[in-house]
Amino acid sequence: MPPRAVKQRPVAPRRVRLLIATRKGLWTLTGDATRRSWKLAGPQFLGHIVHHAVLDPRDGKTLLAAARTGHLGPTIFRSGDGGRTWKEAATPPAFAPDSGRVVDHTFWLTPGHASQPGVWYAGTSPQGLFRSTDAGATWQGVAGFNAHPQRKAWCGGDQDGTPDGAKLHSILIDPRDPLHMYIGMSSGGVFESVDGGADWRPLNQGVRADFQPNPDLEFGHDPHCVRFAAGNPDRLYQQNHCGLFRIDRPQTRWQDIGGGMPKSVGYVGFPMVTHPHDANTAWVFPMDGTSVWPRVSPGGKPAAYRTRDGGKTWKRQGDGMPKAQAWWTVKRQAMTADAFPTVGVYFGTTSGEIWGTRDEGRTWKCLAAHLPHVYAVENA
Amino acid sequence: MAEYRVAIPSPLRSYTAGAPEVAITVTATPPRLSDALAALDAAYPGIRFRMIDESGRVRPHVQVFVAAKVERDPAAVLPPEAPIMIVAALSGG
Repeated sequence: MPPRAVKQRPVAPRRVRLLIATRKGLWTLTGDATRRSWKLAGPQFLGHIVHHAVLDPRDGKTLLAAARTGHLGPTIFRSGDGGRTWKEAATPPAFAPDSGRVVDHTFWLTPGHASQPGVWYAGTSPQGLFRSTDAGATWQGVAGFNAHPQRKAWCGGDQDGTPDGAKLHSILIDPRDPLHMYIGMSSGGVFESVDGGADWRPLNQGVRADFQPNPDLEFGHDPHCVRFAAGNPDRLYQQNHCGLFRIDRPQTRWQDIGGGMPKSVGYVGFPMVTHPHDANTAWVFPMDGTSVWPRVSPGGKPAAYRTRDGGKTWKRQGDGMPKAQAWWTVKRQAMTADAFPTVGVYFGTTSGEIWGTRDEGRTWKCLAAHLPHVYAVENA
Repeated sequence: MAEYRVAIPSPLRSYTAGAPEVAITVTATPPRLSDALAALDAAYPGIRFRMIDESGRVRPHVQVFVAAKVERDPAAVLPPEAPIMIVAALSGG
């Protein structure tokens, strides 16, 4: 029986704060309770490449930011006061010295389970999984993944990564069980652990891998972004290099949910955003994945697409966005939603604009412009 | 025990409270570049990992000069009183 959406009674937050991680630093964009008035603040870490910045929902005040510069190695900055002051991690994520591997940058940050305050996970480029038990001050490799005998086979070589380097992303912790986790890898695919990361198994059946000679692979896929459905951690949505997919556990086969997308738009994109109150609703932001993969809005006509039926159908939502000559790229971490009863959705472009909707995608408005290349937008 | 002066590039001066040059003491005999970098990190925690990766290699866009010569081997022995200069090489965009 397919899982049902969990009905909740959302309470309107007092404000929205977006953490905007860019190629040149970190900004915050704060909207009031009406979500009509917005204030941009920053930069922090000006000149740093900030790949991801995330709030700890368990205490509401701890922030972590994954950063590097063009010259210097990667690090993690930590704030215990909502971003007013920051300290650097004493030991940032790094592979074992004898592993022959080097962390280029930390790409993804995920707070741990609610029952494990202070625990965080980090995914790196190239693919590595790290854990902190002290709110990001020190990091240790998750040996069950980094030293797994199959890790090299799962991840492939440098040629199997993205143009900006292979990545481990979409670290998902089951809210019912801290030992149950999922990760995504570009490339490698989606993997699951039921023992807190001590061992992993591929979870890619049903997912296409058009770029591989054998399309029926156990691993080697390219998930771009994987998210839990709201209130239903048995349902996952996936924006993949080769389409849109959904899985309802304990099933082990992903269902193709990209067939409802217009052929002229396609099913390629990077972000996947799920509705915080409805397990059947999600948004994607399609990109042109034809020919040489321009990775821009198809035809220069940007729009989000929303499903309200678990992916059976998708509706174009572009009102307010430019109608032509807007060649946007929205990266996999650069789209998020707030928790208002009528949900707001926000995204950032590589051309430095932040767009948002306060009516679940019916109308969109530019909230900020002239920022650097946006890497990530997170609701904090 | 030997003392060395280390020139710090602007991207790393957040670790040295803005100081463009610092003095370090190396106790190992013979003193090697790795010892100097360890002493630098002891005085300014975190600075080493930003320029030396976990495999011990100087990061691609960082250059280290010892007595005005490029030195990328952490095992290199430091001549007495040789100035050490760390440079953030041209890169980025």
